[in-house]
Amino acid sequence: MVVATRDRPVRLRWLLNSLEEQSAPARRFQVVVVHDGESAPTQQLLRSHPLSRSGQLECLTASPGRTHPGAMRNLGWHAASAPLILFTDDDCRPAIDWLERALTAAALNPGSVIQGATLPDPDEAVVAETAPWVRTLHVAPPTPWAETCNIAYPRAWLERVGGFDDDMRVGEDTDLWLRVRRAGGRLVPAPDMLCYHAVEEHSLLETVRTAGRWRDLALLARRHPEVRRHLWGRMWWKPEHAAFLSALLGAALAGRSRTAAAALALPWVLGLDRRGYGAHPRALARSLAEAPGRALIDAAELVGLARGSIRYRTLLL
Amino acid sequence: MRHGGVLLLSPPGDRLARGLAQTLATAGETARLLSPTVLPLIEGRLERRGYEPGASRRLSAAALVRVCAPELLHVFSAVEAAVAAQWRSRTGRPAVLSLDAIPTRQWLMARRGRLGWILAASSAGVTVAMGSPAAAHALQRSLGLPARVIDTAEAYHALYARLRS
Repeated sequence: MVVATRDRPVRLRWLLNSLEEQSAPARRFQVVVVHDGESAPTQQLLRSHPLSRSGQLECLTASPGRTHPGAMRNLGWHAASAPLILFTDDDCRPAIDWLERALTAAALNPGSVIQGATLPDPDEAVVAETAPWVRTLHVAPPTPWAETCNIAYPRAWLERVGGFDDDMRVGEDTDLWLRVRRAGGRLVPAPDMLCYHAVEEHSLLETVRTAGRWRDLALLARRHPEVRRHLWGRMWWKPEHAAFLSALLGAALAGRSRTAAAALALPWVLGLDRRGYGAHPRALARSLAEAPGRALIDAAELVGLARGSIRYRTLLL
Repeated sequence: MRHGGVLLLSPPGDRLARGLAQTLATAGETARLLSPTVLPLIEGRLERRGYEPGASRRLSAAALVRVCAPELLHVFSAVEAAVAAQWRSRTGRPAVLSLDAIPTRQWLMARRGRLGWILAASSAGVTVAMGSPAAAHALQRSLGLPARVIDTAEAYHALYARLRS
């Protein structure tokens, strides 16, 4: 199992705890954690965790400047000796039989890439239901994005295509899978190979500040135009972005025609209840109160994607 | 109201805090047991937003600590842990956090704020004490934090002496 991590010691601890508790015998797996070497609590955890003391955990430090997730995962799988490499993220927590299920699926489908299911952690349901700005992941395999939060690659495939792109900040997992697919690889869904993804609460400022990192998605679309089949209208990363631009256009036209402005803004306004608060007056008030924040996030994501579109000369918004 | 002794801040009706206050009083210690009040105007809203019941006590707890300016602060819940963290960071005076729960990952994530407040207390150097080895083990397992196992008022009294020396 290969995990790339950056300054998330508590989440990493929970991941390592869940790996230690796997139902599969300990001799059947090895854990490689690659970190950027900048977090003292992470280093302390990696030194002291029971997996480390039992010799099952290998820790590697990425060299400065090579700390994008793809580069770190490459370092990890190169250091591992197993024929099957499982990837998960440091904000995930595999179910107790995760490894067993992965090994079974790999044995039934030799040479295939195995993609497991990822659900928001049910133990963090309170955060998911009540916090306004959260990040989590729901993956029902097979997906065209082949997310690395829960996927197993035969080592042979990684060697054949050269592993992840070292320099991509996002989308490196999809890029890897599409190169494997182009070379004849097959992806097999394993919905019972289950991983739980953290439900992380962020402040609005943090959410807006990190929204720009999605700009490298344009690089993915440029390299692999086939991903556009899975985009809304072949160019929108999220339908909300199209609705937001339409609303902006509506705001610009408000002086000329109120009807046109309202019609253009309507899709975005109707989509404001993105967290599913419901139709109760209090829920509607909450959705409305969060509308300026949603607008800021949509705008920040759009600016990031527009910058990426210009940089990589392909339109993805 | 400044008294400089030990301030015990606990949710209303906390038996450990009450027993501890009695023991300290018997031992001649200057100790005060206070329960911060909830703010009804925001308590319901915070609870609906998934925060710990009594989360609105934080405001009155912070005010009490400022007014009392204790030599040593002892808190008994995750809500007051945040206040202890601030107090310890600002003044450098010793603070103790006792949790009446088994702090597993599930417990830490069952309410918003718990994890962050406890981590903040630990980072600020607040001493964490648990009532049983199982609870101390859970804290070590879930957060990697060392905790003292203290289950009697007398042992707390001895801990205070060590922290103040």
